[in-house]
Amino acid sequence: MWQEIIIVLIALYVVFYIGKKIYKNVTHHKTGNRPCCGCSKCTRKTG
Amino acid sequence: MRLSELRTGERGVIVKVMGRGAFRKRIIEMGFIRGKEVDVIRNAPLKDPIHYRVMGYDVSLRRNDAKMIEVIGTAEFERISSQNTNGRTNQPIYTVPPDESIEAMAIRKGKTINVALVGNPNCGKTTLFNFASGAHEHVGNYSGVTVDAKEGIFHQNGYTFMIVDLPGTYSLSAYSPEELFIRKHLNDEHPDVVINVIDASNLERNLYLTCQLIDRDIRMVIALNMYDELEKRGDKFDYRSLAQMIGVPIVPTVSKTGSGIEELFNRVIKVYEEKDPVLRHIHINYGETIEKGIERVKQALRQTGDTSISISNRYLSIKLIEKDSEVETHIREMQGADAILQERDRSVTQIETLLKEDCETAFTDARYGFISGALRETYEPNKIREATGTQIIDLFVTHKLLGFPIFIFFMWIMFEATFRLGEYPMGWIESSVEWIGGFVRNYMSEGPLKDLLVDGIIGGVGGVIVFLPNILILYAFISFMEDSGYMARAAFIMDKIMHKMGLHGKSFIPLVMGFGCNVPAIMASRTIESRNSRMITMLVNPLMSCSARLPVYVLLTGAFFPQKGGTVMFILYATGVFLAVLMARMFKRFLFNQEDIPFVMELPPYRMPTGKSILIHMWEKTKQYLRKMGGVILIASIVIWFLGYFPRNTEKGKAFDEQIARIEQSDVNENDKTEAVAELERQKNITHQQDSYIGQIGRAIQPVLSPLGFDWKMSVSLMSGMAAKEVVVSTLSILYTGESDDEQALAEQIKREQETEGMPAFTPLVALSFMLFVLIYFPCIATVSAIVNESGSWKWGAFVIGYTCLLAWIVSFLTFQIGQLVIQLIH
Repeated sequence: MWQEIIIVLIALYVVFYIGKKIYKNVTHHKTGNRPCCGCSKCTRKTG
Repeated sequence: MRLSELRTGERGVIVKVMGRGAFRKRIIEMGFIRGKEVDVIRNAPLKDPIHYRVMGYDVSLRRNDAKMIEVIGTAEFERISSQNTNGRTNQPIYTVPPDESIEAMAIRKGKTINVALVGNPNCGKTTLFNFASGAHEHVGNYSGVTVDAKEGIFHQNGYTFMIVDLPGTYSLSAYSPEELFIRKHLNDEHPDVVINVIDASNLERNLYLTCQLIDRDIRMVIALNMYDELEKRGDKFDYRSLAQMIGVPIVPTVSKTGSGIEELFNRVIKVYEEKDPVLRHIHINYGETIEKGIERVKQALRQTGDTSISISNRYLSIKLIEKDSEVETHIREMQGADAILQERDRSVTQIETLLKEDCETAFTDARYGFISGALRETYEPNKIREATGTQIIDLFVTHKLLGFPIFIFFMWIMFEATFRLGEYPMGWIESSVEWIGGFVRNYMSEGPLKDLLVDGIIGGVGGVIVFLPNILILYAFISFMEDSGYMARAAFIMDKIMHKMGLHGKSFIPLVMGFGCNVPAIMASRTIESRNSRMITMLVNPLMSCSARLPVYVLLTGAFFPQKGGTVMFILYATGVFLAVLMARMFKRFLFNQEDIPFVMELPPYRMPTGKSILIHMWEKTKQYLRKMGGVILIASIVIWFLGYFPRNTEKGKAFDEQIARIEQSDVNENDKTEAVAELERQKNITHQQDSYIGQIGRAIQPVLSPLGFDWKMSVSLMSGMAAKEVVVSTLSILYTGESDDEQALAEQIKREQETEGMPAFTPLVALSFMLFVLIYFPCIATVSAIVNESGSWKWGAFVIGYTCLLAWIVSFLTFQIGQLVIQLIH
């Protein structure tokens, strides 16, 4: 029985981990990670 | 915090005064000195200016001026003190002894010096940063290693240095992302002292950036790096005289060995405390014509009275006349901008008429003139110079006929060593994983957790960790090529080919880095100025076979091509390169067909990489790999196990159990009984796998992949490999061997595995088709994320996923179908 309980806990953790990764990926893109720190004249944006 | 952030009625103690020149002098003279108390009396109705009381005098400062004064507020002091008392603080810089006063804390904080490292690419800046901060940032012998600012902390003589390693740049113009990044850092972060790292072997070019920093009027110390190379060449350089001339302390350093770094930071302290005898601000003389223009624009700027206190009017005037677009935008936001710009235009016309060249060129010439003059007085190159080692080596490695064979030979050695040398440590790790699996299997009670541990975690993660030595060997070779300077030569000899692909020679380095990992490789493409080339480089980079795909190749070449492992791997990598060329040409033709700017690439001198640097690089990769093991690979292995383990207690399973029970109770002899039970167990396992969730998914996608020769297990492993390519092997391990966790057993099992018709599931042809599919299809999630970030659009991430999957299918389809046809014809 204890093994089943641990398995359920692991499953919950895995679901949480995947959710967190997806969330981070999405929000990371929104905040941006540009070498120009979001500089408006950056050639990478306008180029 | 800044003085401007204190509220009315609050009190603070001054930590430091930032800014420059007359502003700083005036503020200090007013009594804004480190350790002095300042009270906020009131804010004006529009919150500007603010009325302060310091040393008993009332003064009012504009909010922008107050922003340049760092203070520690009483509220902040109480918070830090209480954290210290509770033992909860984790900021060692501001940790104070109990009972320390706010003044003492302010003085302590005032001993924290923000230092920015600025220099040309490949001047040894990152090595210096690593040495000082103890960081392990990778150092490459080519430009663009530092694509983001790296921060580190360092203590010396009671001072704390917060060091920021900025990307390498040749100037402070506003053309490339690096230049803009540095300018933004200098403007916004106001480092207390800038360390300008100069390559002693190339003084003239490196001092160009120094001239611009002098124009910018910031407190600076020059690290004359790689000074040993200058001495070795027999050159004479009176750096002390040059320091006096330009008003900037110069300290010879050898960042590789750490020589001179202590002295460098001692000078930083002196400059910060304004006690350095050499320190003074000078104006570079641009000649009468330009100077007159600068003066006129400066006057116009002064008349507006609204310029930034952190940037000098002279610098702004110079940049305006140079037609710097960023400064012009900044000026346009000011009152009286029209008058300033009109004056600028008048000055530009006058300069260009008189000098008969555009202003930017006039400034560049004047700066090089200044440098040339300064060096003529202080620098004497050794006239008797033998052919350097670099020149001799370059005769061969960049030779138009010998260059390519040497390059291909190095590549072949790299793959052969990865495969052959890696076999030995692989065996040791395999034995360890096997022992752990056996231990858990023998000593743990039956249950789903035991199954998860043995089949899922040890089977999955253990199946991948054995490839760590191969990956490390590959990285050691890449690191050696980068650090020695050979990578830049490879880029040089590949330049013509890269141009035929529609790329720059500079694109070659990110592409070769892709053999290690596509993510840093895609980030390294930032150094390519042309957007077209940068985009194409990023889009084809996933076709460069990264080290995560290596486990799949090692497994399958080991199983099906044991005698020709290195050669098959070389062919796979070459296929990736060939496809990258093909796709780059297509992208150039159909997506990015505009003209490019000309290619410029340095050929740095050869340097023997230190063993320490290579070991640090390998250790970093080991950490990354192990972190991946504990993260995405572990999670993927658990998910695959769950999907393969459930649902339990199905009707078919019960029927098998009943049959097994009946046989066990029957009267047949023991041998027959054991054989029958084993066969039933095998059938039960196969049926269970087919009916499991993963089996259902695999069967659903199999129609798409069966023309490539893949069964449902291979289809599932390919799906799981989308998270990270190593997971392909761990999934194969779980699906084919069930309870086995070593690579040898997996290799044996996939050779034995049969389809329902009795045909082998994996043949050499299927293995080749499978490896090609793994090489090309879906870049891992991290790579897609890097492409999205670097391109600034999800569209390109989706595009890469789409084209790689389609291309993988076409290539594997052609390989499998044509291969089958050839085999039929031969037989």
